[in-house]
Amino acid sequence: MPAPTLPSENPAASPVSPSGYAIEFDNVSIAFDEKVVLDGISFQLPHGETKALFGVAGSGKSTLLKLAIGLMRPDRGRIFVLGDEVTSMSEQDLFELRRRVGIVFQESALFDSLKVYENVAFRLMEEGISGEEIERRVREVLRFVELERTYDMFPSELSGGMRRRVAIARAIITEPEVLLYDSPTGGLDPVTSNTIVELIVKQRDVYKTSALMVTHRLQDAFTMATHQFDKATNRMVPIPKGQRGEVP
Amino acid sequence: MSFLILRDGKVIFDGDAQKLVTSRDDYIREYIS
Repeated sequence: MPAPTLPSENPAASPVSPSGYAIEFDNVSIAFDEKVVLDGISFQLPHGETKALFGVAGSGKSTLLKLAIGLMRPDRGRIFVLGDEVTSMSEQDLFELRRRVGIVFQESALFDSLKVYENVAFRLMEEGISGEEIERRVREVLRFVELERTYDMFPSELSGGMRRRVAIARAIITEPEVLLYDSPTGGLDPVTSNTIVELIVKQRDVYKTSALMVTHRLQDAFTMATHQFDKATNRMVPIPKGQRGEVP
Repeated sequence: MSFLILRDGKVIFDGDAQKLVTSRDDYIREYIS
């Protein structure tokens, strides 16, 4: 199968932020009903890097993602995204910041009553972009996730893996500077999971987008750490030995 | 590519794959086994 045309790399991606990181958590804590969920969390996500986030159920992984985009506010600590301090932003400023962040939800979260192209175009339609430009960009991202043929289909006509790919297309159509993945392979069989991991690797290596990925599958992250996207074959290939750390 | 592991609300690991697989922490060793 010939490699599809790849979208142009986003020259605006990965700007230098005052904090020096795409995402930074500084001593962040939050509790619900006296139960401490996150306790003094600090970490940094450098620009262009992908960080996989693990923990048993209830360890606060999804809460951490919600904090990063200001859907929750911590009890203590500071959070910076693309140089802006999320923890001190107004709702209006948070709205603007979220336009620069793509989110892939755990269950794809597609609108069942909308066709694939409408789901993917949703954020562009809200921004008042012309219909011609929207169609061009929708087709481009659907080609990127290798689902251009689903343009006029409804989510109910798609497999679980295809819905997850559409969710990724929807997240990247605005050319976000940061991507947040919440269990992108959750509920999928191993073979389908691998196709999603391959797509995430492709997105990472083509766009160089910073990403924070919650996952329950350690193997997914090891695969991402040991593979890279090959434009010539349009496939994920192992990183040659000596250019990567020794992992299983 | 880096890895972050949460346990009981705290970060117990933050580093790359090589550092992860060579960790001597019992919990982490069991987690990745």
